[in-house]
Parts: sequence; structure tokens; C-alpha cells
Amino acid sequence: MRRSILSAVLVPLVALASPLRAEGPLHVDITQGVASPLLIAVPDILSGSIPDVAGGEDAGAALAKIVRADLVSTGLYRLVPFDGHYAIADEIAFAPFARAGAQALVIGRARPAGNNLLAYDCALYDVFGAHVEASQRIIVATAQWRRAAHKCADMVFAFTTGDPGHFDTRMLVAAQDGAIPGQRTRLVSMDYDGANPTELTQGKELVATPRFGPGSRRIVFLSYVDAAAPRLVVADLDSGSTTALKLPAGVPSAPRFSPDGATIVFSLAYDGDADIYAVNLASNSVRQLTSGAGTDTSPSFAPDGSAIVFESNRSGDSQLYVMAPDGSDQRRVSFGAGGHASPVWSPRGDLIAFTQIDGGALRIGIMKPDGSKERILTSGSRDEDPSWGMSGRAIMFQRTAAGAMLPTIWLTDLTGKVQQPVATGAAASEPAWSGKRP
Amino acid sequence: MRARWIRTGRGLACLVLCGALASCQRPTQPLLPPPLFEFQGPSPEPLASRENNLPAQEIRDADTPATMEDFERYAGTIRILFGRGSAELTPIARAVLDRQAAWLRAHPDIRASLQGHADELAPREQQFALGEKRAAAMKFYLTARGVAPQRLFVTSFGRERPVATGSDEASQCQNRRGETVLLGLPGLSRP
Repeated sequence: MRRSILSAVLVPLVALASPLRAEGPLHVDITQGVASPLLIAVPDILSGSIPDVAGGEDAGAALAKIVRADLVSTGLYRLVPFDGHYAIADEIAFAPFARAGAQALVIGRARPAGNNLLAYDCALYDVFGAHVEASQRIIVATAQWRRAAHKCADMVFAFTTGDPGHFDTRMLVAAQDGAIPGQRTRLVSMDYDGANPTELTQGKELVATPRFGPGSRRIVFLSYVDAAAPRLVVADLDSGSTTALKLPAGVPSAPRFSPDGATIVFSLAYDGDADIYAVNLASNSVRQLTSGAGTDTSPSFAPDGSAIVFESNRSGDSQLYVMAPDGSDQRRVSFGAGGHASPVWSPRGDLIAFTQIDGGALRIGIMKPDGSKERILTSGSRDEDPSWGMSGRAIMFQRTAAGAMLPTIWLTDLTGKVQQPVATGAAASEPAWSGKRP
Repeated sequence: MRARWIRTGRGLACLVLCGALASCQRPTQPLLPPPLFEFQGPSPEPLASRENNLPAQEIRDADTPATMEDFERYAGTIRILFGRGSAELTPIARAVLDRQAAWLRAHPDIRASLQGHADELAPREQQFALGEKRAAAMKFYLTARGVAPQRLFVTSFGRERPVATGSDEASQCQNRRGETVLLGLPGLSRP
């Protein structure tokens, strides 16, 4: 669509010394948890109103606000408050920020770039070293002005953590109306923070288990256009085309793309038995990966494609298993308390997120792929459907509060200490978090 | 439907509206592994169980149009209930399916969608499989009762279409259900 040309023109202002990894003073060491988050200041640099940006508010202030919200949501940064603001042409001295204790300073200057474009010059400074660490000129269509702030935050995140940021991303949810689940459900895509929602289906039929393919363009979901025969549907969000997969008899569910996007793994229930299958999207050839009694479901590929984690109740209760992509070498990996379900492999490959079944409660947890170092991150009564951000440093999930009928979407860091709801508007469930946007 | 007061393990009184399902009487029990459902066919136990007190009704003559209402009138209900995590047919469910089978045998031109549902207390993906397992058990039973398998279409809604919300057992036990929805009726919109 149009946005492919206009959106992501990134021109480095100052050459980045090292593309992602930084060992300098601004490096956030995540392996040590968030005991000492990076102290960062993101002052408002007023630009005045820019047409079609921020609804006529001061564009610079609106963009800085988004950058601050992005960074704080990770738990890796602590904002140093700064009263006052600068004009776009002001020279900015480091001294006040050094006195306030800031280690890092983010300066973003917004300007109209003509032809319905917005230019946002985003720079990350080392306050004590008094020099620029990374900078970018971000040019976006004014209608997509929020992406400029997300890209600025992505640059800061990437430089300080060594991992790609997850802010300029989209999310899919199954949104719905009414008071009871399952009414007028529709697939809605939105920015990861809930802004810019787009309805992808009209609510005429039930939809479930949406997932993104690699990147943010293709999706797969379960559609009940024919209630007597639900189908897995692959959709291309750029062209709008949809394809219902031709699968063997049975009820498909829990689809997920392979990392290369060529294959979809899913669970197919037939005659009371559910097994994991893989369908090649080019040849439409279907291969059965698991067999035998018990429910096998929720397959999820390792990011290098070398293994698949899935859920099975073959041992009695729901636990996680890992197998090779051809279905061989199946072995159980979850041995922590309670049942384990809905596994999702982190884009970094180092962790598997899952839903823990503890009596009547459902909670989000993470573990290493061999099952060690299991940690439960949430403490709600029904927290489920984890989905990783592309940074591998944040998880979106669905929370149904005690006594509530309908769920909401929440975001958590990997310590569970920083959790916040995502403003999705209507009730929403089953978050699916995209990879990198074009 | 009968209502009765049950004391739970937590000492709470809970109004249970789900009939005589044993699992509904123990709201705090942990999720048990679903029992394997029987492939050897319907058990020969007497179908006229205590709860099966609906008056026997005649299938009307051929002039009566085949409608969802007539099916429901004859079978008593289109809906059967299951235990938590289970796809086993209870005696009450078998009695309902017996009447559904009789009606379907008398209307050989009608097809049926068997729709399995599951409660909201377990993770989403496995509930699609459980719903299918329930609907497959219904199909197996109806087939054994003389309905041609080509007329029966198994589907599962998992936990996506609950009839009752709320995390209490009285609500959730109503969601562990299987529904028989007729297909191919003249003038009937798709279910």
C-alpha cells in the first residue's frame, strides 16, 4: 500500500559507530534484571502545531510523550523529570540534566517536511560524556506521526540494550461488543500501544486465535464463516486478500507461522484426538507431526526453526514438549508446579512463555527452552495467551479480572514488576504481537 | 433443570443449575485429565434414569414440517452437558441423544451439525480440542443409534461461545456442552 513508500525512510544523521551493540556507559544490562534502570530524560522540544499531527497539539511535545511512555513500559528506564521545555532552535546544555541525575538524554525535533511528511530528528546523548551516541532522521507520513516517536524509542532501546526495539509494531486482537464473550467478535489490528485501530473483519462471524507471520504483513486466524466447519484463513494485510487453507477433515486451531513464513503449524482435532500438523503454504502439502492419544496443541517454532514447542496432556495434565520440526525427538520440558499450556518461543530464542494452570487460576510464566529457570510473572486470576514483542523483552497477554466477564490486554516486562494495561478501546482478547514493520 | 444448594469445599453455598452432573457439585476440584471416551459404543445401562422424566412424545406424522422447534420439542433439548474436562456422555446426555437419534431417523433428509463447547477455565487452544472430542462422542453415539455418519458434521467452538460467564462453577458448568443444530432445513439460515 501507500505507506510502504512514505513510512520508513530512515536517514542516519550521524553515522552510528556500532549498529546495535553498545558497551559504553549507556548500556542497559538486562541480565542483571532492572535493579538499576537507566536514568533518562526526554524533554519536550516544542515544534508548534503541524497539520495532521497529534490533532493540532504541539507535535514535538506529543512525540516526546510517546517516547517516554514507550521507554517506561519496558521497566529498563527511569524517567528523570524535567520541568519546562525547549524551543526547536534552542541549544540544549547538558548541565541541568547532569544535575538532575540523568545518564541519558533523548532530544527529538519535529518539523514539517512538506508533502504531508513529518521529519523527526531523534538523538540519544550520553549526558556525562557530553556526546551523541546515536541519531536518526525519521521521516513519516503525517497520518502516521506516532510511528516517528516509536522509531525514536526503538533507536534508544536498540542502542542501550543491543536488542531491536518493539515499539514500532502492530498488534492483532479479537475485539468484541456486548457483555458476554463471543458476541460480534472481530479482528482488529492496532499499534502495540492500542492507537490507530483498524477493523479487519466486520463481526459477522466468530474469529479466534489470530497470529502474525514474520514481520507484520501476513496473518492467520480461525474463522467461523461456516459455523459447521471452521477454517484457518491466511490474510495479507497489504493486499487484503484472504485464503482459506485446504486441510484434512477435522477442527483446526492454534495456528502459528514458521519463522520463514513458508509453513503454518497447527492442531487438528478429529474423532476425539488432536494432533499437530504442518501445512506448506506454497505446495499446500500437509504433514502430521504428532500422533497418539491425548490432545497435542499450541505448536510454536523456535526462532531459528530448529525445534517446535507444543502442549500435550499425554502425561495426564497439560505440559510442554519440544520436538524437531519433522516431529521426531519429542521430549517433555516443563516440570514446574501445575499445568503448562499455550507455549510461545521468544524471538530471541532464549525463553519460552506459557500459561500456567494452577488450580483454577491461569498465570503467565517464562522458562528456558530446557524447562529450567521457570518464573511466574503475573498474579491475576486468569492471565493467558502470551505473545512476545520482537525485542524478546516484553510480553503481551490477556487478563480477565476476578469477577469480570470480558478480558483486557496487558503488557509485562520479564520481571513481572512492570505491568500495564493496553488501551484497546473495546474489550479485547488473544493479543498477537507483530514483528518488524516495513 | 433442578436447582439445589451445594456446600463447596470453601464453605460457600452455591446454587447449581446444571442438573445432576457430579463435577458441578465440587466447584473447587482441580482440573482432572479428561477420561478417554469410550469407543466400544453406548453402554447398555437403562436410559430411563431418574432425571429422564420428560414425557414421551410421539414423532408427528409426515405432514409436520421438520423444524428446529419440532426437533427440540421431541428431543426435549438440543443441548447436553459434560463434566469438567470430560467428553464422556452422562446417562442424561445419552437419553437426550436417544431422542435426537429417533427424530433424525424419522427425518432422513435432515443433516445435523454437532457443536462441542468447553468452559472458560482452561487455556484456549486445548478447549478447541475438548469441544471436538465432545462433538465426536455425540456423533459416535448417534451413529450407533442408527443415524448415518454422513449426515453428522462435527465442529468445535472451544470456549469462544459461552452461554454463561462468570468464573463460578454454576456458570461454567453450563458451558461444557454439546449442541445439535439441524442443517438443510427449508428456509433456515445457517447456524
